[in-house]
Amino acid sequence: MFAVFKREFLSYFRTPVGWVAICLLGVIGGYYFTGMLTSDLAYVNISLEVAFLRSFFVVLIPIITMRLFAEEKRNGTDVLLYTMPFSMRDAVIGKFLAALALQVLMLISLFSHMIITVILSGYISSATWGAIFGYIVLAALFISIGMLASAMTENQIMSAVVCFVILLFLSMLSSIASSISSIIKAVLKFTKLFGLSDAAIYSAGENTRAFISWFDPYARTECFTSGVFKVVPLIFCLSFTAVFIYITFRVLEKKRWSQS
Amino acid sequence: MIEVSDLVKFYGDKRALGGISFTVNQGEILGLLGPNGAGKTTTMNIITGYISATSGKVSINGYDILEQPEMAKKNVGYLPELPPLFLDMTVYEYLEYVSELKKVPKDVKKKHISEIMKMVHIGNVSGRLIHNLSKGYRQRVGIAQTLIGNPEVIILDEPTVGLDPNQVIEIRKLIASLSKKHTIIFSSHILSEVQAVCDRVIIINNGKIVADAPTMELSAQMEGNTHYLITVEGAFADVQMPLRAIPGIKTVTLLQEKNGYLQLDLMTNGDTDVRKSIFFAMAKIHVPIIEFRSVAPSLEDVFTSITAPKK
Repeated sequence: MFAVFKREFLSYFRTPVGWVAICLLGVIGGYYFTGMLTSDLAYVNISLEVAFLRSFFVVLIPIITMRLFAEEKRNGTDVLLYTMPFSMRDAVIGKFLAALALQVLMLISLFSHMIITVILSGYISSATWGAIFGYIVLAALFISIGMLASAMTENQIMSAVVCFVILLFLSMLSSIASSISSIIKAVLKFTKLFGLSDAAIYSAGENTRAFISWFDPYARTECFTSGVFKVVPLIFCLSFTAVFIYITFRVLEKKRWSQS
Repeated sequence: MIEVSDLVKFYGDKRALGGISFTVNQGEILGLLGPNGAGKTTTMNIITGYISATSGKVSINGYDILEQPEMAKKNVGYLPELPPLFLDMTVYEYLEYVSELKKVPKDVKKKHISEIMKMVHIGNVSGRLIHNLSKGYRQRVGIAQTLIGNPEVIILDEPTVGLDPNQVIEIRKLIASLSKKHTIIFSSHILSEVQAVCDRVIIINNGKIVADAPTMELSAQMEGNTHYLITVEGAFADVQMPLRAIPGIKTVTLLQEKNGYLQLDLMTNGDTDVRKSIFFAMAKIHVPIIEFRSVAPSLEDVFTSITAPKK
């Protein structure tokens, strides 16, 4: 597993991908931090910067994950993973950890902002650490989704597009939930299909919204950004991450058994 | 060493392998021969655990490739037709990565890699990016990769495809030298190559074994028909009858007539040595023989005669 991790992690820096990703997040974070710093030191809240950076997952994660398996399949190097005396599970976990390590390394500029804040006698709240923790947990979940997309194709662009669409959908999930809730309320009210009371219609709409929002990873991890540590969101993210890693493993194993 | 029994592989409705069985003994160089799509690569992929068979069994050194994959794979080094190389790595980095995948102990890793690089003559390019290497060198790096971890079995899928003649000779020599320490399965559709390198040949056609014999024995199958190519100075009408009259000559075929010279293909039954008779027959009618050579049957003849569709 460590061999795969090492190769994958270093390969980010053999190509421009790793450098560009770090620089991109550094520039974006730096812009946000400078904005806070120049307004008033008292307003410097690193947790807000972390929350701002999370919104770039939708672009950065597909770039980081698109090549994980798609490139190996295209170049024929996946033969090594299948024919070497080790488990495919180790390869999947090694690649996942490499992408996650890069994602954590991309926070290097954020840590420099924290140091600057402390030097300027600013305050690093527990919310900042919570936000960083939430950022990493969320990154792990999204990387597992991107890795699955990469395992399903040998076309990197296709992998990136699929991952982008899924992450975009997840980032808009709360808006989608509200829209669907409103539509359901409107339809039930207009058609009077089941002869429901206004309260029941309202309740049906809200329950639908709550059901869809249950899957919203951004909303789930919001508590970390406020400095509140809860176990449920952590279990939510980690269990979905594990599920996607497992599906990736099954997809890759399927190739061995494929009859097509 | 390797036991393959009753391998069947279907791709959808298409049967790629239809019950292949063979064994490979220690130290043997086995050539897998067959036309494109015959099932050579599929067989190799199943032996190495890259894909699974629909049914059948493969065991390497007593370890089943599906039941004890890690133990079985430890004994195998595989070079597919497209070498699995990371172009962004240097040769040394790549071999180091493979040795880590193969769990070569850390304390011997460096020495092991340098021994292999020396063996396949790539020590001079160890620090170069694989991307910048010639095809011949890339193939050598691919072969070096198979040797990492000292596996007892080396499986090479068409290792000389796309190489220039000098590189082909070098790779053949390399493979021959590896046979001292390893059991080798080698696929090719270049028949002379299999003749030059392998002890034993298995011919696969349409997913089935159509011949399995030592290389020499397979060539001998065609010894019944021996050809002679002769070039004489004269007219075909003059030489045709005297040649046909020689006992043992089955056919006389005119291949070429140019500037008064005839190039003839004489097929004999192989039982009688007709060379003296040809000489005296031509001398009798005052027709000088300019060129005279026998054409031994090649493995290609065997291959063609066995795999050609029966009419």
